[in-house]
Amino acid sequence: MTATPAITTPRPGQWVRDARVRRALLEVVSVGLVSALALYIGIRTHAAGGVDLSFMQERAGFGVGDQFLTSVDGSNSRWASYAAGLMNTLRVSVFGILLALSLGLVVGMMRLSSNWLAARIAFLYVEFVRNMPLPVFVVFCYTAVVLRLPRIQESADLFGIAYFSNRAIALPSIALGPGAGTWAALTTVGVIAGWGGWKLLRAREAVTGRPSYPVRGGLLIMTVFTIGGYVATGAPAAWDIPAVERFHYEGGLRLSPEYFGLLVALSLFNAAFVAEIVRGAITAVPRGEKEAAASLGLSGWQQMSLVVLPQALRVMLPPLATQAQNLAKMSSIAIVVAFPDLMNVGGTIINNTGAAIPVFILMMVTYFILNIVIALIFVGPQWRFTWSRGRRA
Amino acid sequence: MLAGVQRLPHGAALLLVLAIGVTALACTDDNSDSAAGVTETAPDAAPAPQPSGGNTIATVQARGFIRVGVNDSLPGFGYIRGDGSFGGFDVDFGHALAAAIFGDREAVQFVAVSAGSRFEALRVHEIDVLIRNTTWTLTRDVVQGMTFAVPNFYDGQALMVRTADGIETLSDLDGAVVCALSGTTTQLNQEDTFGGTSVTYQPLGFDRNETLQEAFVAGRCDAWTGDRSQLAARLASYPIQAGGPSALKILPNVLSKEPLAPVTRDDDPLWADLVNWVIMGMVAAEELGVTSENVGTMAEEPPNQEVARLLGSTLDGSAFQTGFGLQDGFMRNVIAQVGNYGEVYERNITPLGIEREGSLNALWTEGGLMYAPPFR
Repeated sequence: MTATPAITTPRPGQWVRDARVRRALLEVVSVGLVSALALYIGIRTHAAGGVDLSFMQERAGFGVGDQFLTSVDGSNSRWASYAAGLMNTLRVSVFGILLALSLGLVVGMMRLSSNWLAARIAFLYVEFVRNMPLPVFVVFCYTAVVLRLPRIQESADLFGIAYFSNRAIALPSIALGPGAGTWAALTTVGVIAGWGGWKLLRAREAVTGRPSYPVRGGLLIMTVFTIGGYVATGAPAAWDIPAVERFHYEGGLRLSPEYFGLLVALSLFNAAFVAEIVRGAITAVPRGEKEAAASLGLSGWQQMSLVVLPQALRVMLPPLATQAQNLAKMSSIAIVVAFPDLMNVGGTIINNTGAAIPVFILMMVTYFILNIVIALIFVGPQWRFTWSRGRRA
Repeated sequence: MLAGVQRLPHGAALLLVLAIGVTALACTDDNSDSAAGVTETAPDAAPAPQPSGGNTIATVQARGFIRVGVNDSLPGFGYIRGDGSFGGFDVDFGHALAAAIFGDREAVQFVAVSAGSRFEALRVHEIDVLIRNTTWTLTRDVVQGMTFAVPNFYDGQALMVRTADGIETLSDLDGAVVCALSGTTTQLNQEDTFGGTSVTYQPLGFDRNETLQEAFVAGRCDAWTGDRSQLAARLASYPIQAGGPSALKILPNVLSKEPLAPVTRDDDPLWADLVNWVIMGMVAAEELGVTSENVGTMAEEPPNQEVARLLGSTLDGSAFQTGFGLQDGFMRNVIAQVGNYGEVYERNITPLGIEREGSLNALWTEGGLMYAPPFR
């Protein structure tokens, strides 16, 4: 009883020890500092004339050699060239991430394989790449591998429909004619109808108990719509076979050696890191899970795909997101192999205008947004895990 | 414990914001510094620095040597010799400046700068003068805030192709891949030449000459565009395995004017004047027949007033005052230690196979553009 008033009586300076007070104080100080800093930067930027990007509307004056979904030349604005560079960055990042993830998953599982040879090969590959600086690896892939392909005059061809040379890798593509839109719409309808048919037949099967072949039925509906639509719209798609010209290939899908070399280098490089993430995540799944699956009579592949990988996926998603962001950022090395990515085009603009600081701020903001988008894409599945955990709990 | 864990993100966020802020401040400070042109000035050599900027002559005199930005991979103009020293046409002009200021051609430190970083290196005072086959353009002069000296070499952009490809004119290049160094004016000239014509071309911009040459040798490019002098240097050193110099030829077409000139910052006119007059002094020396061999006798017994003023010889009791604050007759050291314009040309450019006779780089008396204003 006598001790109680001693505790409640505030001693001078005791409020400092109160966690709530300290937390509030820290927040006030940090908000104050941030605001002061923001104000200061704002004033300085304003005093320096702000970040004026009006020069980006002027004529670019330089061409972008390799373009993806854009068609820009020197008479367009610098914004247009910048957009062409951005599309190239997106192209190499998106396909690079897909390739790195697929290859990394395979290599990561190989490293844990009971097959001695597969595990050794995966180990050597991962160690070789992880101990290599990226620029060396990229320049090597370009000069020592891609540039060593034959010259265009001596193109290596594959049955006369695909060509490989250090001018381009030309593959047959599908050229769409008039009516392709209608065909695509019919095919979409077919896919939806097929899915509906599959659901209906499956429900019927469950009710009647007699086999109704839902998969076959669904596929049949889809096929009828796709092929019927193709014939009905007058065969709007045709193979576009590349042809060798004097200096270049005409038609087909052409991948420039710079793009190909950079894509291969970035994919191989990042796949090694992905493989380590995958290996770590699989190892993190308790052994008992695999043993329990084995005791249920699941095959090796089933143990992996149905029990271990789904649990490992939760562990590996955050580091995989980081690795994907790394790949997107690493793509800025493109200039060493003359690939006109965002950084390369931005550098040319800086050289032509002298506006280094505005262009660098622009590039930083662009890469920042790109990385945020990649993070959000990977966060999507993570939310699913969080929700499902919440539902189960 | 729990409270500590919960508070951690706040602390981390605060640190992050501070880090970003400090970086941003550092950037802004750098920017304003270069805009104002504040130069580190030597304490006693320059008691009253000019308000507009620095006093580079005093700064380098206090330092004891000059810093010159040069190319390190362009044979004939700026390259690293077998023994590790810098050599070449542009490098010799760096030696000439050192000889003018210190009377010692070796009082110079060469800094290899890339095409993309050269102006920034000058802007942040990493170098005192840039002599790196740099084309004088309006944007660079005005917007980038540079001061160009008189061109020490008049160049022009050209195209180099393989002899075996049978390319004779620009229209033969339809559909061809044209390689260039990125971050240079060549890319812009290329677009000016081909853009709007029926000739389509695919540009490919490399950041390093070595990768470009590798790609050209491998057959990735059909044409290599750049300054004629650079192409000649590349042609002369083309690898024998790839066919040697005879496998290549330079098309006669001139795509652009490329006056190559040394560059200084806008903030020090006196320094820019010195760079200018050293070059013009070397041209004047050639015109007056002063060479590294006869400069001694010429200075002792100047044949005329012009030579006496150029070499700072005492005539009628007093030597000609240049106003740079350097010792009298600094050009005498330049000519004795480096040579006149013609000697420097002959030593560096002639071995590349670039004829001087009849070109823009001949003396004005022989139909060229090399013309020095009077030394008086």
